[in-house]
Amino acid sequence: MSLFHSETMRYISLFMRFDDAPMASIVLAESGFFDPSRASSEDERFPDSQGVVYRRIFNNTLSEWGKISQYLSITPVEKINKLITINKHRLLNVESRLNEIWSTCSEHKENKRKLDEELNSLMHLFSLLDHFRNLDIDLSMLQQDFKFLDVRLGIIPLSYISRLKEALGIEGYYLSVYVQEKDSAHVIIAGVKKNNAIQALLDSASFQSLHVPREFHQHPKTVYSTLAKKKKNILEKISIHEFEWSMLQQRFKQEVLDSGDSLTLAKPYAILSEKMLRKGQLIQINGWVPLSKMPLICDILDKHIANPVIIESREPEPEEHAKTPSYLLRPQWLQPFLKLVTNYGAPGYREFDPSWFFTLSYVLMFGLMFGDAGHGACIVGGSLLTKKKWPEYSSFFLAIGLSSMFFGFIYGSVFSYEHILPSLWLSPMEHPMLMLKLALLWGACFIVLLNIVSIYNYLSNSQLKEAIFNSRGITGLLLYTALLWSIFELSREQFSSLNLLSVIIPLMVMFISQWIKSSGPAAERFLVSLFETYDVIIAYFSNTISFLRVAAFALNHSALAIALFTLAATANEAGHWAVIILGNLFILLLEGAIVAIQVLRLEYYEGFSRFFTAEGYLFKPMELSPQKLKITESS
Amino acid sequence: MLKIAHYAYLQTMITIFSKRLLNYAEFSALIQQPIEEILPTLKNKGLDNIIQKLTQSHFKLLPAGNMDNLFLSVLLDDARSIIRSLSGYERDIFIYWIRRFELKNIKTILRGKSLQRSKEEVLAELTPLGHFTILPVDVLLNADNIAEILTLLEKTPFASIARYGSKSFEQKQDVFTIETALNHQYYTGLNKQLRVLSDEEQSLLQPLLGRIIDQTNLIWLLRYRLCYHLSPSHSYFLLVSGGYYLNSKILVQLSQITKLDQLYSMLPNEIGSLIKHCESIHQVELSLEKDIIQYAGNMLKESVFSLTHAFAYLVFREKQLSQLHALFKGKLLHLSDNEIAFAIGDSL
Repeated sequence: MSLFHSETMRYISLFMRFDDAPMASIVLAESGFFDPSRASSEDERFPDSQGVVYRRIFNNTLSEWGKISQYLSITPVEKINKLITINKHRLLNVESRLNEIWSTCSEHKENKRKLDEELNSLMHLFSLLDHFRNLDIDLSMLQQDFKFLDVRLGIIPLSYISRLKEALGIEGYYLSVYVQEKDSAHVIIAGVKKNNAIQALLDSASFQSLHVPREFHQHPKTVYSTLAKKKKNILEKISIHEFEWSMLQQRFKQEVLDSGDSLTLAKPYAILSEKMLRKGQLIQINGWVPLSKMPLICDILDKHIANPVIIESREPEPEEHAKTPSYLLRPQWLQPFLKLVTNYGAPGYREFDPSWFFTLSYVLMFGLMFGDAGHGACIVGGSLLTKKKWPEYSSFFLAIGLSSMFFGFIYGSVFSYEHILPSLWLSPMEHPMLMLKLALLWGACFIVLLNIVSIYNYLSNSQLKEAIFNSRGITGLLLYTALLWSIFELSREQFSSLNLLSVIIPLMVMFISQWIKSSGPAAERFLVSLFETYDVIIAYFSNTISFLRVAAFALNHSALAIALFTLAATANEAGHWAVIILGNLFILLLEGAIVAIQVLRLEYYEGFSRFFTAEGYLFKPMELSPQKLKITESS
Repeated sequence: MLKIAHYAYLQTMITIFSKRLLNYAEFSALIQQPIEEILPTLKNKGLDNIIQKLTQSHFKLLPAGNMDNLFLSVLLDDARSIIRSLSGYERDIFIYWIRRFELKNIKTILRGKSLQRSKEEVLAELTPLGHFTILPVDVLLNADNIAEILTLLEKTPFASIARYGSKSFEQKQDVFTIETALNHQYYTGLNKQLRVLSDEEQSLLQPLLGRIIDQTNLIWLLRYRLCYHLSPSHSYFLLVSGGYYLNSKILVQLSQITKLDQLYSMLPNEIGSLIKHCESIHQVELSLEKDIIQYAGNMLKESVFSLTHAFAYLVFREKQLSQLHALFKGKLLHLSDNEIAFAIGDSL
């Protein structure tokens, strides 16, 4: 296992009989170490109509299977027991059967949708009935259009009631409130019908008319009991439907699982059929395999393919490095850190893999910035408690928690108390200047280290000129160390001409290198080179200053603790502890999250951007896992 | 004793401020004088800024907006001094009273939007309220439509007022409906504010505030019935409660009128006698205003000081500034003394 690189990869070409391709696809997927690749030589390729049809059938079948397994909540098995090939006819049979099952399921699903809709509209009627529940009349009377009587139901703002009542009295109308809410009232207005005389008045009173639904043609209590009966009826139907659903699940479960197995076995061929080359009965399959797994690939092909298989393998050519996948074999506990690295980008095949460096520096900086034995213990405890639920993040929180605990002991800080534990080394608030100096020193080491990595990357990719003259190459490194040395000597008032020379020489080299690279008139080249060189110095300076935040956050943690205790001191005993507990929770969650983000920012912007091209792509072997079934995209 | 101590500063201030007010005889005398002679007599009445501006303009008529704003700023300065000496709910009541001008601005913005006038035109017509400004005028002027203005107002202290306006607008997309809803809510809010005062303070304030509400209700009612021809029920609904002489029973009867002369026999004597000679709504308005000024003046002479004194001063000052405004305008337009007296509601 290579600590700082991708595993060595081999480009393999398999030549075999066309009939053996389905089984070869399955065993290659089962091995978990074959990442198929399209052949580079297009001229030898023949159209593989068989594969196109197969992939289309596969995708259709998979789509049906997905809908059914989702509707019936059927989880596929984890592993395939028996390796058998799935030919086109068999796949068609699976598709046809799944179509039949889905037809039954979709009918069932549609029934459920109708029942839900019925229930929703019934519930809506219930809420409407609420408006009329206090009326002691047959609601059908309110639906009639009387010849001489004008009856209206509606809602008005509460503050208008008395004045509207009096105003309506002028017109010979009567208003009665039957439901009163916080700001509004439900009213019934009745009077002798006149040419809509009161409409303008009602508009001014923000009267919102209520219409009695057709369903309400009895007394509100009777309507309520009718609706309740209907609701009971629908709920019964829903429970019957649920029972039917479980019957369907039982009835089709095995078939759906079997179909899932068939699709899992069909998938590798569906993927490979697009990438393989065919000439008569001979086919060629190309792909990437880790060097260490070559014997395994040879062995399984030999074991499962009866006819001869020719295996050609070679190292990737230097010009192929950009297309070669990176296989980063890292221990399980490093995976969450690796995810953070690949979130920035995957390292190129021959590029330095920063996972280890990232892990160590991230954990170290988190502890430095959030050093508290109590808070660290909480993070560790949290990671252990949630290990089963989120196993993939457990090691990340465990590592940063332990680091926080470690620095908590160093600083003598536990749950923001700075004077319970004796500090093993220093307390940030008592030595702020020292903390700032240490942070700068750490930043300088971080940058120097990454410059060395950058030089290594240039050399690995045979970019000798870049390795020597680039701002991230040897010249840049010399300039940066010379600057550091000069500042150090200046602070001791021992700045000498040697210091000056040590800065000027790499600067001149960089300037000349920029001059050679640039084009255009001499004045323009001079300006470009001057500003590029100036930019390098500024970038180094700002990168280093950025690391002051390591100390700033350590001080911030102590300052927050002081603020917390000042606040707690103003409260009584019970309040005191409540402030301490809530304050610590606040610090743990908010400051913890901010520190985690700040460390990531330092890693990405001050670290990765200096040396990491992140232009590679990760090794993605075919898999034989029913749980990872998804439609294969055709290119 | 405690009450005297509580209002000591306010009482002193109102006593000093009261000297700025003109009595009936002093004011009537002004009508007959040329403007050059009027100005010196108004020194020490808190009108220095107006006098200075008029003198600088060589007694030329200032643009309408400028003149209005000069008089309003005098009132607002007085109000600010009074409010500064108050706290708690007493302060809130006075601030609410001054918010009438913001309500006027809201109506101007709503009208401007409904008539699709430019932002600049509307802005020129708004009343600048200085320290009392709470409306986000720029934001409101940039709103796309009336519905958006009302939604924006729901984020201001006018939230409850605007909510009713929104409801009315939803019902009937008409600015008049919103304006009446805003008026209604403003006076409902004012009554609510006054309820926190002690019974004694309420009983002292009620005659003055009630007279103002009577005037407002009567003028609205006459306009709704005789100018807009709204139905009696609709007109009655748009009135507000809290009147002094005009209770709801009388207002219901009044809402039935179809001619101005029907009014006099229906009114209680206290108001009827004031307006029996009036031939137009404008005259009714001026007569009632005169009565309010007179009542506020009498209140200021009451020996026992209360919060109502401060309120009476503000009402008196506002009405008198409005009369002075009319007087100045008349003089600058070279109107006759009789015409000016008629416009002010005074008879020579």
